[in-house]
Amino acid sequence: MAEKDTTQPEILDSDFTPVEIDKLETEKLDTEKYSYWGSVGRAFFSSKVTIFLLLLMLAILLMSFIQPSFSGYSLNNVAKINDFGARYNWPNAKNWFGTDDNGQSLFDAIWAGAKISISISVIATLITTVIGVAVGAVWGTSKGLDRIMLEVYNVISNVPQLLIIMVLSYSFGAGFWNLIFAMTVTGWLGTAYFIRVQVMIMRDREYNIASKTLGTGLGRMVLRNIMPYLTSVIVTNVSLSLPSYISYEVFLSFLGVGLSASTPSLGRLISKYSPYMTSYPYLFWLPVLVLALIAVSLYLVGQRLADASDPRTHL
Amino acid sequence: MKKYLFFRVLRSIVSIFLVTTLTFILIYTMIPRRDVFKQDPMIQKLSSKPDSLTDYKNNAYEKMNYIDYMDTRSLIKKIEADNSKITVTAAHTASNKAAFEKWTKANGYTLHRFKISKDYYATRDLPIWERLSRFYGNMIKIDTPWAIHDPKNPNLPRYLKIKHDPLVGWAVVGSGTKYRYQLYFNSQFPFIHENFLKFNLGTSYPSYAGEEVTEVIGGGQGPADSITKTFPNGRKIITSDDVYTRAYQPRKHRNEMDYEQYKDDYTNTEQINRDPSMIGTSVRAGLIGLIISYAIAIPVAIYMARKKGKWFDRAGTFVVTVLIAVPSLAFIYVFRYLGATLFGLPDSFPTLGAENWRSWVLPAVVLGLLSVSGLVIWFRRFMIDQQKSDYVKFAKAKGLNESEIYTKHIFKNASIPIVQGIPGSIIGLIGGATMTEEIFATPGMGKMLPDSIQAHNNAVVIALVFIFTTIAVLSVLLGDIAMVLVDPRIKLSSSDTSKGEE
Repeated sequence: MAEKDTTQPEILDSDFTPVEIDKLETEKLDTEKYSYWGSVGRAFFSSKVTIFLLLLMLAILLMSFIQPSFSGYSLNNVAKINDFGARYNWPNAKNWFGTDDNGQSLFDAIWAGAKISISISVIATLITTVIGVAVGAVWGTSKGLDRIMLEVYNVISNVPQLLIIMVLSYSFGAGFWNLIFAMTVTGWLGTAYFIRVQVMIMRDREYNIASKTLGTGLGRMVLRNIMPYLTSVIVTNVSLSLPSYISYEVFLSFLGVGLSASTPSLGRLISKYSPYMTSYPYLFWLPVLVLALIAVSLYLVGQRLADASDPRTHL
Repeated sequence: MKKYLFFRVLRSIVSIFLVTTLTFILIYTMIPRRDVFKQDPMIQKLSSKPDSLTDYKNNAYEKMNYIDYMDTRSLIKKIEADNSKITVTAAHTASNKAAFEKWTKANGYTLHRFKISKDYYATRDLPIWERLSRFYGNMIKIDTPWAIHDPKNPNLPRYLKIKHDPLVGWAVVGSGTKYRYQLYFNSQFPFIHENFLKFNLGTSYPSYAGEEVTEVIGGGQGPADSITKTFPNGRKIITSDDVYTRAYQPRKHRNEMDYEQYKDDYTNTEQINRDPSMIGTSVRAGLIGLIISYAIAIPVAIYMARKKGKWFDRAGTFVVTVLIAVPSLAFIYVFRYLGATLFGLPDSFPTLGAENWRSWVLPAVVLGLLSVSGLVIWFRRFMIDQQKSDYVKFAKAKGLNESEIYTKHIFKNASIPIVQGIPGSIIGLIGGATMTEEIFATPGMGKMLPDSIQAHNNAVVIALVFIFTTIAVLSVLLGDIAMVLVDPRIKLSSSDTSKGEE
């Protein structure tokens, strides 16, 4: 202590350099920079189960979209029907999932079917979500439209959707795009109503009233103030509708209503192989298992993504 | 409230009407009419006789209200009836041809000739609005004492009386009406039955060809059943006649034995069948399924909410999430397999038939299980939301224990959405029933829909859409009314937000 120099050096004006006040710098907060999608990614990948499910989903998707272009599977190919050695082989090293009554590999059949089933569900979900969100956003903010749309919604929502899809796809005839049209032509109404309710809840929140007082236009308010809040809600909706459309497609193909007879899909495979449930159980249960895996992984990954995209989980 | 209910009922009717009309228009304009013959074995049989085939096809189209059809005989009859001065014959002469052409032109018909015999026939395409107006015009048939006009029986008494009938007991008995018993009571559900109001939804074709659609869906199924009855002539006879359906038999077709038995002209009866009708089968399985789904979902949801965050809740949430995602078809097959191997229940309804209760177990239970996962998630959420409310905190502060709070306080409030959820469950059950009935081969309405789509039976498809929509719309209406009864705080009339809470 004694050694310490107790005399203070004199502070002169020349020791200071004047600095201009930087208006931008004063506004800066001393916290980490928040990036929405970065946080979503961090929250999403923080769980090992999620990563496993995501990998499973990706593996299934890649298999169904790449494998069929190599296998050249065709539902009506009966080239090996007289080759008794090739028929009804239980799963083995050559044919991983065994062969069926036509001597065709079930492995090829499942991925060709999965490709169609997944495509239909993804396209139908995409269409209903885009139309549904767009209409729902307008519906939630316009009183005049609300009155008409509510009546339309009340009429349609009372009818079971499976019934609508079945009757429509019967009327339009069989075919890939016809089935998608039958699924989406009323399917978007449910999403739109859902979004309408959410928009109405958000619309009257205080921050929006404040924003309105400050002169924000309606369009900007919906797009900038409300929609970002609905990301997790929309993702939840998507994760619910993907498996449900797969389920509809599978059931309709099972009945032979939706797709034309030459289109392979998981529903058609299940219906084709259901007589073998006891004699050659692998033929029936493997497509059912793959179907369940596809639907469950899509749903669970979607749910996790929805959880991650809710800003409240980022804290 | 009364005014609100009135408009609500009106809206429900409008919505049933709209859905049915749209379906009608869609099906009859989009589907090529020749498709109805795709599965018809008669077409093969008649292919060697083109004239009969043309006649058969046109008759079928007429039955389905696609066209008005007149074969040579009825065409001649019609022309002569319209203009008594002209005599027309089937011969291929110029004067006959001119007469045919003149009449068809005047009445909007098109004249055709059979391929082989070269005889004339006429058809008229019915526009869609005319078919629609016929469909709705013939939909409701009301029976009155002035319904029957039999030229052979001019002195038929006309009355409606309340009396004790020896065959059916106390009933409103009619004469001059189409049906003998207008209103009667028996031990069968719903105990009060009527015959004065009948729905007519068209004629079924090509499956159940020629039968009335209402009879296909509402009539008994399976082999004939017989009972012992004492008839008005005093004799005790084992019969399979359903005496409640006695309808007027024109004297031209009188069966003397039947007449002797019943002692009046109402001898035309339907058969008693052993198995319930399609609609009866579906309603039975549906009701059992509804009860099962609530009986499982409510206790599980309550227990999960009480153990929130514990292992039971977490495991339950996982199971429920997986069940929601698994496509119904896979779900039904897995539970069918489990039920058949673990409990030895029949995996198909017709194996043991409708009389054996074991046939009903799997279809009804699986139908119920389909909606359990959705209900559990919903009730669990609602119970957890209730846990945070002030009245629960107050009850805790008073010193009530957990189970008292749950059974006495939370459950009462939770019963509101339970009641409100029932209509949704019924709509879900209709969709689910199409799948379970198809897979279990249960002879119900749900199976009939895909079956008639495959058979191109348009009349039945439209009738089923009508019935399903009516059930769904009415259940939503009744659900809302029940909700007001359970919780008087809810006012339907002031809000359109009551639906928004779903």
